[in-house]
Parts: sequence; C-alpha cells; structure tokens
Amino acid sequence: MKLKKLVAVSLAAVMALSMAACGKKDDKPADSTTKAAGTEAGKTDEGKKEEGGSEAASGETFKLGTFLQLTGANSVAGNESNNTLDMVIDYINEKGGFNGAKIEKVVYDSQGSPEEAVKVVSKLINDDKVDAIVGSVNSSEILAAGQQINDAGVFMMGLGTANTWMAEDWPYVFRATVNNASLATNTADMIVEAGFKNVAVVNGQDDASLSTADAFIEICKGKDIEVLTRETYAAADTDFSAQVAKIVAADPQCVYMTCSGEHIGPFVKQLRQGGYKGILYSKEIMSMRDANIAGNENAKYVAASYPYLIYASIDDCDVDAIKEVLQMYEDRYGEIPTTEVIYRVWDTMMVMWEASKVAGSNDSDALKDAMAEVKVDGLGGPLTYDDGTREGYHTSNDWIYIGDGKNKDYTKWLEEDYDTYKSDTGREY
Amino acid sequence: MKMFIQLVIMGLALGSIYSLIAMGYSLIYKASGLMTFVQGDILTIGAFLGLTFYRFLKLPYIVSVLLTMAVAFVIGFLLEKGVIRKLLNKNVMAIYIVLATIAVSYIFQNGAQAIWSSKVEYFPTVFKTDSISILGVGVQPESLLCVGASLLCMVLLHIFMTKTRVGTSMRAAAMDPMAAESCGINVSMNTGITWGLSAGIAAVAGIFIGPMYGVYVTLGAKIGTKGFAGAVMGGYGNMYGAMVGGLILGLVETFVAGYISSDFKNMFAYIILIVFLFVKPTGIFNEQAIQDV
Repeated sequence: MKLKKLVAVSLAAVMALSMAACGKKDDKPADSTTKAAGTEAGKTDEGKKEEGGSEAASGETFKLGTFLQLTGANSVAGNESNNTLDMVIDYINEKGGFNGAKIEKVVYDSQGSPEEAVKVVSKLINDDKVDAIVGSVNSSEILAAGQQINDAGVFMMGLGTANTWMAEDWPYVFRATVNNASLATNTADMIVEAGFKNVAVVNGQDDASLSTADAFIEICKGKDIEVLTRETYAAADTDFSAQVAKIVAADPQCVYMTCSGEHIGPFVKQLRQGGYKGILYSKEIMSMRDANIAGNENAKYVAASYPYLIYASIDDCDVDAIKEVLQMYEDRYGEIPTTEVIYRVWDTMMVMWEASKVAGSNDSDALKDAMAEVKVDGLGGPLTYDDGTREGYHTSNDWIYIGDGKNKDYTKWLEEDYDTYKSDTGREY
Repeated sequence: MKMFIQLVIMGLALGSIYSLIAMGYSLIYKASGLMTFVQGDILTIGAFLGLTFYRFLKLPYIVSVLLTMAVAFVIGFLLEKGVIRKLLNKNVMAIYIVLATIAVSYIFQNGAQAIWSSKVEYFPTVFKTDSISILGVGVQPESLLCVGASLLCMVLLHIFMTKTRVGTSMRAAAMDPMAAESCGINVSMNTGITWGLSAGIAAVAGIFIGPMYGVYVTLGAKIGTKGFAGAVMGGYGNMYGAMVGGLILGLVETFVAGYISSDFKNMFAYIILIVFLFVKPTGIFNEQAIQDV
C-alpha cells in the first residue's frame, strides 16, 4: 500500500537520521583550547599522578573541562552558564588564577542528552586530559557521566540541582548549588506554615523534576499533607489542559510543581486559565521571563524556597554581592541573565578557587581533600563542606511572587497579605 | 461533569491546532503526492515571525498575522523551488524528498536558534481577557481562535482545491504531472504554491499558539508529529479528514490524560496512529488519493 510503505520508510528514515545525529556530531570542542607551551596536556592521568601534581602544578595552565547543553529547547541555561564561566574565569585569572595557573576552558555541547554527556566527558578526561570538570546544569547528564569522572579521579563540581547524582558514592563530585530534595523539605514546611492539609503535584520527567517530586511526596507523608493527585508531562509537551482539569477537579488547597525550563510559564498560565487561583509552590524561583509567559496576574502567588532570586533588572536587586555579579555580566554581554545559573556558576568557581587555595595545589586529590575546610560566602548564603555530604548550601530562603518582577519574604507575606490574597482570589485557602 | 466538559473543550482546542498542521500535510500530499516533515518547524518559524512583527516591531496584530503568513508562504515556496523541485528534477525516489524535509527541519530549528536565540520568549496576548468561561469552564481565548481558524482553513482549502481553477490544476498536477504539463498546467508553479500555502497555514498556527505556550525553538516539534498522526487518521490528503483526525487526536489525548493517566497520553496517540495504519490506512474519510493503485 502506497501510504503504508511511504510512512514505514519515512519513520525508518527519521530514526536513522536521529541516530546519525547522535553518533556523528562534530567532536571538536565548541571552544577549543590552545595548548600552552610547557603544559603536560599530552600526558596521561597516571603520568601526571606519578609526577606528584597536575598539569597546572607544573606552572602554566589549569585545564577546566565543562559540558553544557548549548543547543536545543532548554539551552538558555547552558548558554548563560557558559557565558558566566568565561566571565568568572577571566575574573579569577586576573587575580592570579588557581595557585598561579591560568584557567583554560574546554567546553562541549552535551545537547541535553545523557548519552552525549557520557561521550563528551570521556573526551574531556581521555583526550583533553582536563584537571577538573564543571557541569552540567542538567542533572540527568551528570547522573549519566558522573561515574566515569569519579572513577577517573577527576575533581568535579556539578551545576544541576537534583538529589539523585549527589546520592551516589562519588567522592570526587561536589556541588555549590542547591539540592532540590532539601528545598522540597523547605517547601513542605511552607505548606504547613500556611496551614494547608492537602496538595496536588505536577512534575516533568527530567531527572531534577521527577526526583524532586518523588522526594516531596515522601516528605509530605511525614508532615500529614495529603497528595490528592499527581500529574506528569513529557519533555516536548506544550499542552497541559488535561492535567489542569484533573487538578482543578481534585480541588486542592495548594499545588506543588516541579517544572523546568520552557514549561513553567505555559503551565502556570494554563493552570490559572483552567480555574486554579490558589498558591502554587514551585521547585524553582519565578523568573521575569516565566512571569511574562504566564502573564503578570497569573504568575502571582507562585512560592518557592530558594537561596537567591532572579531579578528583572539590576536596580531591583538589594543584595550587593549579587548586584556586583549581575553588573559584571551586563557589562560583558549587554544584558542580565534570565535564569539563576549565573549564581550557580559563580558560587561553584569561587568554591573551587578556595579549594585550590586551601590545598595549595591544583591536583584533583588535593582539591577533593581540601573541600572539608572550604568556607565561602556564596551569593545565596554560606557554603561549607565539613559535614561530609559534599553539598555546599545548607540554608535557603522562602519567597512568594507578588507580581511585576518582585518576590516577597513568604512568612512576611503570610502575616501581611494572606487575607488580601484570599479576598482577591475568593479562596478559603 | 465539569471535568468532562473541560476535557471536551480543551481536547477540541488542542485538536484544532493539530488540525491546522494536518491540513498542511494533506494539502501537500493532495496537490503534489509528496510527504514532508517540516510542518512543525514552520509552525515554530511562524511563531517567531509573529513575535518579531507583533512584539518587537510593534505592528498591529492583524498586520503581523498577514505578514507572517506572507513570509511563511515565501519560505514554503522557496523550499519547494530550492530543494524539493531540484530533487524531483533529478528523478530521485520519494524517500529522498522525505529525507530532505527532515534535514530542512533540523536546519530550521537550528536556524531559529541562531536568529532568535534559545530563550523562551513570551508572546503578548492579543485579547483583553485572559480566560473565557464556556459552560463554567475557563478557556484560553487563543484556543478558540485556533478552533475558528481550523474550521475556516478547512472550508477555504476544500473550496480552493475543488472549486477553483488553480486548485483543480493542482490536483491534476499531483495525479499525473506529465499529462498536466501537456495540458498547459505549470506543475512546478502549482507545487510551489501548495508548499507555500501549507507553510502559511502552519505559520498561522504558530502565531496563534505563541501566547498560549511561549515561543521557543522546539515549539512545533511534538505538534508536528501529532499533526501528522491526525492527517493519517483522517485520511491523508483529505481536508475534512485532517480536521476530524486532528480533533479526534486532541480529544483522545486529553481524555486519556484526564481519566487514565497523563503518563500515557502520548503513547495512546501513537498507538491510534499505528492502529489506523494497519486497519484503515485510508483514514476515516477513506481518502482516494492514498488508496492502492
């Protein structure tokens, strides 16, 4: 049959092309490094270790490998991370680098694909022979590639926020960003603080969204919060109308969402348009971009526990350290970032820098061993690693979005504005 | 009951978006006998074009829609002339045309990222109200716009293809290009217009759904494949079939998600596609263009 044959061949062609796209990508780094004279870039890791130090220790450069999603739907976080890395590397290099070694970045596009992440990390370790690795903002990529980084004994700092990969026994892998599972505990506490007894949950299927929702539901059991319904969506979904209908039908006192990237704004918008006007707890802080997509009124009453905020403009920021970093970014790129990955990357590099100072060496083992003594004033609070969890952040802040790009302290909002919210929305809760 | 009504309305709204894409597939197949996998990406380009005209250049909405359609028409026309026609002139197998459209799809996605960046852009709503109540159910006004546009496109395309001289010559060109050429029909021009029209329809869908979903480079990826499934279900090449197939798909998706689980909604959509391919490949409307010859 003509159509059958045509469709069968077409589908086969799609699959073949997809596989070809995965397997035949240009393996050159997106930002190739130039090997400095006198470096030991060609030597094996074993060779370096036998000589008792890293490439950087011999004098010239510290080769920092990174893998980030630079193309595709959710690549804005990867690109802003990449920009921030360039900015911070220049900042650190101007101040002497890591123990005198200038940082040289090698970056690959991991395309949001765990398979690609494994492939490019293998290149970073075996071909580029990097001294340390930073990346990715996609937790699923870290989960896939982390084992080989740890097994190679390469110091790594992950930029993702899922609890899954940090739950692995990978002593070389650290984090200076938040742990979503910890934040889920804070969020459950926020729900209890408001006096809510039940919740509807919606989550994406990426590692961070899924694992955070799982953790949240477990936490709810211990806090007497009933989960009335749990809805999910696939990565390429654009329409959430059925999920919204089920949530509205369940009539929850509040909703908890672990969406990410391009899904946040549309989901919030569709949920509001579908009839839910109540408080919406999120694993991520509301950005101006997401608020614009959702609509200013729809974005109101989205609450989250997070160490730092995303600002519509530098003038809106009242934290000096963050203001300074945002200003550096704007001076360099002409605009401020739309996501909070700038804070993640900045904190990560500051922690790594501090570790190199404490260690007095840039060797991966030395950096790893020095972490217990690292104490850094992060952009969202103190970063410490003396509890053996390899996590830096142990505190957070609770916020609620009140419109026009502004968030308010959640507890203060409950005290001052909760009644107004109830009268505005006509809700009991 | 309220949830049922909500699912029906939402399903029809979603289905009408699939229908617009499905009509593009059907139009191309009906008029040229070719298949394409680029409709979803043209929807994305349409959304970005609309964003540029309406939000960035601050042109009136209706002007933005018309300009978007016009630019998309040119893109579709040039795609046919610059890629498809060149391959057809080489007498390549149909599969090479399909492969070419897949390649173009990737080029459009990456091109959109290069031009508009990978950020999710918001498309300002064009309606004063954010939500319209129908039978007590909140509905996005843009959804109703999509339903209206789908119905209008379906009727106009059917009239165009069956009642106009150009449409008739398009069908003739698709059935037997050589005979059509000998009758004085400019087959190449007709095929180019078909691809242009299909692109214009997809772009309209893009500009309509922009305010609902935001605009980003893979916006049309999933919608494109769903539109294809809708076209097959309705009867590949049939305008009414495209409409009905898209609507059925939208309803199935929302009802599966609503009454079974949102985990299975995409799986069910593609299971239905497979079932149709096995049981009734000519679709609900038993489209003659795809029956055995």
